[in-house]
Amino acid sequence: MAGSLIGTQVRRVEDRLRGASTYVGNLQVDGLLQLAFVRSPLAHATITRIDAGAALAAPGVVSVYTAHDLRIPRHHTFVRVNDTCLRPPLAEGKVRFAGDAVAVVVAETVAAAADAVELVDIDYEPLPAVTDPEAALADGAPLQFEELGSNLAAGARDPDDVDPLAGADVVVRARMENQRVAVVPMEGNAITVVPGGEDDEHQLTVHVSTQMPHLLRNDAARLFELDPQRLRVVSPHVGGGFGGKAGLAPEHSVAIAAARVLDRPVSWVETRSENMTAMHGRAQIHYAELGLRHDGTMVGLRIRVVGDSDAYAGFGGALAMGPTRVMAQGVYRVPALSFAAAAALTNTAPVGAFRGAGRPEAAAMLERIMDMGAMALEIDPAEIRRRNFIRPDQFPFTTEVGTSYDSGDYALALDEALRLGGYDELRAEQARRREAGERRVLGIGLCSYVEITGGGGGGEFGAVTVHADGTATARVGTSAHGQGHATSFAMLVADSLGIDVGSVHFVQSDTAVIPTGGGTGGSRSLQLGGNAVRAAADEVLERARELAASLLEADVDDIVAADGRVGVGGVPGRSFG
Amino acid sequence: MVEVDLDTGHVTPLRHIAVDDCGRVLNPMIVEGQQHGGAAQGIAQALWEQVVYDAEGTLLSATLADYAMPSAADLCSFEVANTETPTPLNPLGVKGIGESATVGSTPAVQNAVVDALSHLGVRHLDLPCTPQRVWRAIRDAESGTLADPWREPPPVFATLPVRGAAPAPEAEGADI
Repeated sequence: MAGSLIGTQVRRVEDRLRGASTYVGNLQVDGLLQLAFVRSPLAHATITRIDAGAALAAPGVVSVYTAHDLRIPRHHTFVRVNDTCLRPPLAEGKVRFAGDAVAVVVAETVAAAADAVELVDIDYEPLPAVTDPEAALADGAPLQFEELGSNLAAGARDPDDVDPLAGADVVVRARMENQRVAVVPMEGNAITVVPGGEDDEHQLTVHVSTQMPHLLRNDAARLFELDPQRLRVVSPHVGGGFGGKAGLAPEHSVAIAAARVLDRPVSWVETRSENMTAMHGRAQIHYAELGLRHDGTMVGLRIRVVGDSDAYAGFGGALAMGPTRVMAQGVYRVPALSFAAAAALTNTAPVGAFRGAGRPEAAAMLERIMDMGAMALEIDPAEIRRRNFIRPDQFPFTTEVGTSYDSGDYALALDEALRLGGYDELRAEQARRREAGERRVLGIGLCSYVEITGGGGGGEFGAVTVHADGTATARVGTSAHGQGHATSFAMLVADSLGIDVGSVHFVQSDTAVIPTGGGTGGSRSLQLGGNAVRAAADEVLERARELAASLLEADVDDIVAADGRVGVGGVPGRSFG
Repeated sequence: MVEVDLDTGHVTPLRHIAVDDCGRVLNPMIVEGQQHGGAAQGIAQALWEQVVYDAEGTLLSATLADYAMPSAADLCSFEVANTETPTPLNPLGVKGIGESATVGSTPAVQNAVVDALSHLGVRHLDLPCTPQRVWRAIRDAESGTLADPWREPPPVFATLPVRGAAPAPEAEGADI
């Protein structure tokens, strides 16, 4: 594609410093009230008394609400795992993790709200807590939801009729912890809810730091029984998500409820301390067993995973049953695979997605056990991988768990990494240091992986409009929060229409102007949103070429777009701008 | 590639080479940026970051002073490259890159730490490979008291419903 923009290093159009950022915390709204949450210091306790009297009397305080006052239905965030364990956005009767919200203060300023939080007097009767997911599944563990009868939020196993390790010459085994990590986006969560009048087009406008504005709108509309078309959700500049900003969080529903009760705009901008307990990821324990022949080829894998599903059956715990299982076989030919996963309720903060969401956990488990196999058989870790890779001629390839791989050349990528690294020289240096008895030793680690991107499939909204001044507007249902879509998607439009990247306006993340959208997560945006925008641009171009051909009495095949004009190729006088 | 200090257990990342394949590359600079950020987060999981609760459920890693998120000074320069295998599944032939480097980097670095100690008999170290954990493994290896990395899984697995016997939770199909 001569002269194509595709594949070129176009600088990000997002990074120009103009002092015009629109983060939720920057939003100026007349009469805006501030929320601050009163959170439990205990991991598990019965609430015996809440006294908000002193807080209500404090200067600048407008109101203090508990679950009893707002009566918000219990709900999930992003994905439902177990309906018995839905979370009350403000605790009802008991708290289940340190940081669980018990009450919310509404005040004229952030400082007044924060000060009044200290004045809300809550009595707790402590209950035994369990934070370890394996201990939570043991007999006699403290129960999060007594009515559930155990702390098992969800789980499934394969039937016992296949022994994946049968016929192996060597079996290597390990229990592996894939630790809980915090999502830590640069900007924490934030929401501003602005009520509209009865005659306004939108009953409520919600500005929120989220990856998926349409999902949040739909979940909020369902929860509060509102017409989704009268609820506008805008996701302005967002300082990173990494999986932690998907769906309707409890603080979101509290903010919406408070704005409705007061009929005044309210805002909540999370503190960093709150964010450290807002969303965690990973949090899996793997029991991995790999059977191998003497030549290093794989016979089978048996995987059992405990996922930590936090205090309210957070979806992170159940990712073990989904993406981790789906990717358990990785890049290898595995003749037999048995997989089981259990999601455990613990007295801990929400566990959801973190960059990769279940897939990195599978890769870590598989690549670690692969290395243990290599060590047991004294085969080089690169060589044992090569002996087991799915070969390029085997694509499309369907794995033991039914995942379909479209394409790949795993040896190509591994060999390129080894070439770039100078693998043989590194191994020689490692051996030299060992033989010399040096106390600073070298380690060389490999990982070959494959992952699902855009795994939810489906479609995405994309639209392109061309304006009389020669510019174009691209609208899309994905929702960039740092990824650079304004640049990437403008490149696709500019490349198609023959205009400058700077002539493309980019519109996203506002349910009032984008009819539908899946947002951004799961590495989906370019595949789904990018292709949608490109198809729209190509369609616009096709119509322009047909129109130009008709007006110029030329053959449509001779019409090209370049330099902002459409006309007969190579004939400057015969074109339209 | 990492360097491990056998006296302190401290791990220093020396080189990090990522070869990713996201199909056709639209903007190499943006792809490289995703590879860099993903590698930084993945290496952080391999070596440093960890949410820790005490037995009573108090969060011990509640601030960024306690939660060992790295800065650029803790990391090495990244060497990133791409192979391009376009997917037949969409017109542009593109695949996602947003999470790739995170997937690959954590096990590569964890494997490097274990590899560094393999001559001592170490076969596994849990994530994150903190100096404390690494130092203990070195000490145990040198005194011949390395623990077996395996133990039997909890009994819960035997009683789980067989897949397909009950409706699957939505999270099985989660895409994020």
